[in-house]
Formats: sequence, C-alpha cells, structure tokens
Amino acid sequence: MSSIHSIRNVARQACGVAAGMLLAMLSAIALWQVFSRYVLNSPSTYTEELLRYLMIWMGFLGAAYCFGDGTHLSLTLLEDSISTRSRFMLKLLQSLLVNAGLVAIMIFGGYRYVVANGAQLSPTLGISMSWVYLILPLSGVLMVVFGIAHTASIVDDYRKEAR
Amino acid sequence: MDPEVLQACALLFGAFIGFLALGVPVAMGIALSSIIALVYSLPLSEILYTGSQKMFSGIDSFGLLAAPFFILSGNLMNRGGIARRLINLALLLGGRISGALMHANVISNMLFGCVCGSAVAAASAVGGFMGPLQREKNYDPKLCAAINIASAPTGLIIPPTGMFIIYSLMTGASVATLFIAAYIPGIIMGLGVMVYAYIAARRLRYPVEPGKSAAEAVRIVLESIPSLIMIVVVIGGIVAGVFTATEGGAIAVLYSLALSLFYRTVRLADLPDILRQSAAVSGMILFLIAASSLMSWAMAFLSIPDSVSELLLSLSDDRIVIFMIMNVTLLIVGTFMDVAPALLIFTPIFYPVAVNLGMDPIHFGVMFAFNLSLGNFTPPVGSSLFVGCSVAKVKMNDVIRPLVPIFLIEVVLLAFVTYVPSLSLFLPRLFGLM
Repeated sequence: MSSIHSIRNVARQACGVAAGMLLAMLSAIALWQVFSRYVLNSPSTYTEELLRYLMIWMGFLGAAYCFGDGTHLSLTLLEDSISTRSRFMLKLLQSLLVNAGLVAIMIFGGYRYVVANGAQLSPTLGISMSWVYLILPLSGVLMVVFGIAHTASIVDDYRKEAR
Repeated sequence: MDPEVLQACALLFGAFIGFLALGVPVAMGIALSSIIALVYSLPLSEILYTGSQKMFSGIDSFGLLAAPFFILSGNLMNRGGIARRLINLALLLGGRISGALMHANVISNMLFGCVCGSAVAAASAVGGFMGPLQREKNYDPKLCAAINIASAPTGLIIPPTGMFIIYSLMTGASVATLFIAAYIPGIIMGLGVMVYAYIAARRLRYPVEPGKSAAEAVRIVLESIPSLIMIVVVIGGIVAGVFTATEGGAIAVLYSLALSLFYRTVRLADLPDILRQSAAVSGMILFLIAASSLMSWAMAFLSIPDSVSELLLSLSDDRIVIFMIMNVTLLIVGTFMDVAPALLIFTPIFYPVAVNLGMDPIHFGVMFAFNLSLGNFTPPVGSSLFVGCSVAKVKMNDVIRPLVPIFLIEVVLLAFVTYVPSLSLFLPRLFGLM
C-alpha cells in the first residue's frame, strides 16, 4: 500500500470519529438547551451559537468523510455505458474537476476568508471567527487528500485491469 | 429575456448539466458551474472568496440542525425494534384488503414516515421485512418492489420532513405549519399507491390475510403505542410551539435511542457506528446545501430568478398554466436529481413567481415536496428506487412497468394538491397556525 493510501485511511478514520462525536455533542447540547429552559427556568444564552458552529464543523467533516468513501450523490449513467478505457479517462476527468474545485473554493477561498476575519469575534461566545471559519480550508485539505488517494486508486485499478 | 442574462443562464445550467452528465458529484457540479457562470462578471479571486463565505453562511442556521437530528433518530429506528412494531400494526390494518401484504407495505411506509423522514430508511427497513413475507405468499416480487418503492417517499412528505426544514430555511415559512399542512397530502399519496395495489390484487386474485384474534389485535396495537407516542411528543411539541423543530429533533433522538435500547435492537456499542453513519449522511446533505447557496448567490447576482419569473409571467398570466409549467419542469428535474438539490436550486426560481400569483407559501412548499417525492421513485434516478430495487433484489428495468400506472395516479393527485389549496391549508387553519 502506498503512503497516500495510509494517510487517507488515518485521515478518513479521524474524520468519521470526529464527525460522529460532534453529532453526539450536538444532541446533548440541544437537549440541555430544552432542559435549561423548562426545568431550570434559565434559558442558556450561548448554546444556540455553539450548536450552529459545531454543526457546521460536523457538516464539513462529514462531507469530507463522504469524499473518502465516494458516497457523494452523482449520476453514473455515462460511466456505466462506456468501455473500460473511456471509463478510466472519464474518472480521471471527474477527479481533476472535483479536486480543482475543492482547491479553489474550500482551500484558496476558505483560507483567504479565515485570514480576512481574524479580528472579528463571535457575538455570544466571543471567540475569534477565524477559528470557526478554519473548517473551510481544513475540510478542503482533507477532501483533496481523499481526492488524490481516489485518483491514485483509479490509476492502480486501471493498471491491474490492463495487465 | 435580456441577452446577457440569457447567456449567464445558459452557461450556468449548461455547465451544471454537463458536469452531472460526466458523473461529477452533484454538490461539486453545483459549485463549479456557479463559478463558471460568474467568471464573466467578477474577478476569479473575488468569486472564490465570496463563494467560500456563501458555503459557510448557507449552513449557518440553527433551524437546519433539525435535519441531522432527524437523520440520526431515523437511523436509530431503522435498526429494527420500532420499525418491526409499526409493520405489525400495518399488517393488522391492511390485512383484510385484497392484496393485504401490499397494503401493509404501503401503510408501514406511511407509519414509518410519521416517525422518520427518510424514504431510504423506509424503503430498506420495510421492504427488507415485507419482501420475504410477500414471496412466501407468492406475490409478484416486481409488483411488490414497485409498491414499496412508490410508497416509501410518503415519508418525505409526512412529517418530520427534511425537505420542509430546508424549504423553511430558504423562504422563512414556518416549519410547524409546513409539518401539519403535509399530513393530508402525504396520506393521499399513500392512498394513491394503495388504489393501484388494490386494482392489481383483484386482477391477480391475491388473497386477504387471515383475521387476527381480538386479543392478538389488542397486543399489536399496545405494542405499537410507544413508537407512535413519538409522533405526539415530537410533532405535537413542535406544532404547539413547546419547542423548535431543532429541539424536537434532539428529543426524537433521545426518545428513539431510549426505545431502541429498551427493545435491545441497539446496543451502546453500536452507537459510534450509528453516529458516524448519520454524521456522514448529514455532511453529504449539508455540503449540498452549502454548494447550493453558492449557486443561489450566483443566480441572484446574475438576476436569473427575476428574469425567469418575468419570462414565466409573460408566457401566461393564468395561474393554472403557470403552475402546470412549474410542475412539469419539476417532474422532469426530479427524475434526474435527488430531492435536496432540486429543492435548493428551484425554490429561489419558482418561489417568487408562485407568491406573485397569490399562492400561499405553505401550499407552495407542500406542492413542491409532493412533486419532488414523485421524482424519488421515477427512473433513472431516485434514492427510493435504488434502495427499493436492491433490497428486493430486482432490476430497475423490471419495476418500470408497474411503476408507470402508479406514477400516473400520483400525477393526478399532484394536480389536486396543486389546484385545491385546502388539501394543504385545512389542517393549519384548524390548528390556528395561519
């Protein structure tokens, strides 16, 4: 197994565990929010913002996990109906487009967005918004790692078939 | 239409359809085509900077958090205990009608839809359980698969419903009102499938199931009550305004977890796996929503929604005609696209037109959901279709024949939902929500 695949496996595992833990935390915090309002009679003021940011982190990590898994929704009508060689070329093109898009928006755009908002503080938690926005380039890097590993396995598979 | 807007429109949708056809994941196709459409109007670095901001702000919503919660609670219920008891209830309710096991299948899907908003979960849990029973009684597996596939999407309409959470986020319509409005149309959709099942069963002379003793019937009803209480607690609490839809989702998670642990269909050791799977599915949907808000921004910047509404209204000022054009467009879109992206892309385009023509936003949302649910079972693309075929081990081509008449029945029902507002608005009015 090449090193890109072992990096991918570790990153994918970490991604899944982190997203799952975030979802458990989200459930617990949302329940706490109801509990504090009705039972303790003192609605918590910070949970709503915390829940939003944690959900966004979970969402992008979960999305990255799906890139590692290849489970994002797509149409497979074309690739199901062409020859092995054309399918190989098509899959390379798909990977190229996906990774180019991810590098452009999530990593390049996201990084600039993090840098530009370093001084801004979140309304109730008072943390720097840079930390919150960091998930954009962070999940972008993970997605691209998965994307490259995926491309590598496309090439491997094709070579095996060609032999 | 203004030639510049027309060009932008052609570029945006042309690129999007091209990416879809190439098999690029839908979310990335949405993002990439949005960037391409903007290239002539804005510097690239500007597009990417604002684009990443839009992806973030698109899912920066407390209301949206309800979606992951209902996905998680659906996955907990999917594991057996709750689904099994609801299916027993459905077997009791549908047992005396000709073609009993098909009716029980439809009713199970509707009951499952009442506690869980996923067509996929319903199609796999219910289809997986009913399939062997149906085969044992010599029912045609292709027909049964089609019945299961066509009735699973009722769960997309009957609350709790992810589509309405997204729709509410985009239009500001109340989730509670949408939830209560959807009950009648959701039940109508299920009844439509049952009508076809009845006709087919009479033709094929399928039997009824033997009647159950009173004691057994009471036992089945009592056993299903803990699962059904969830509807009262969660949907009732949301509709009555005791808690928000998001908090209701968290309560659904707690309740379904407690019940599944009690039924021993979920062990604590299963939780990490269930959480990871639910987070992955949530992430997939949230990423789609994030990408779609990038597209909404691109469309608004290029004034596409305004131009499309002008174009539609210039074709005709007759509501009946405009709604028909919208429905036909959405039916076509729905066959190729899953519900979430179709909803996300077409709400900003059609919503202003509908409101302009005096349609109630709640009614429009219900019509939209009903329409896209049909797309969920029409070939070539639909999650209920894929899962329903694989769980019944039949080929997609084999279910097309029985699906056609069901589709036609449902299209007639869609026309009723579209042109008879009180089907959607009666219950919200009754509950004083509008």
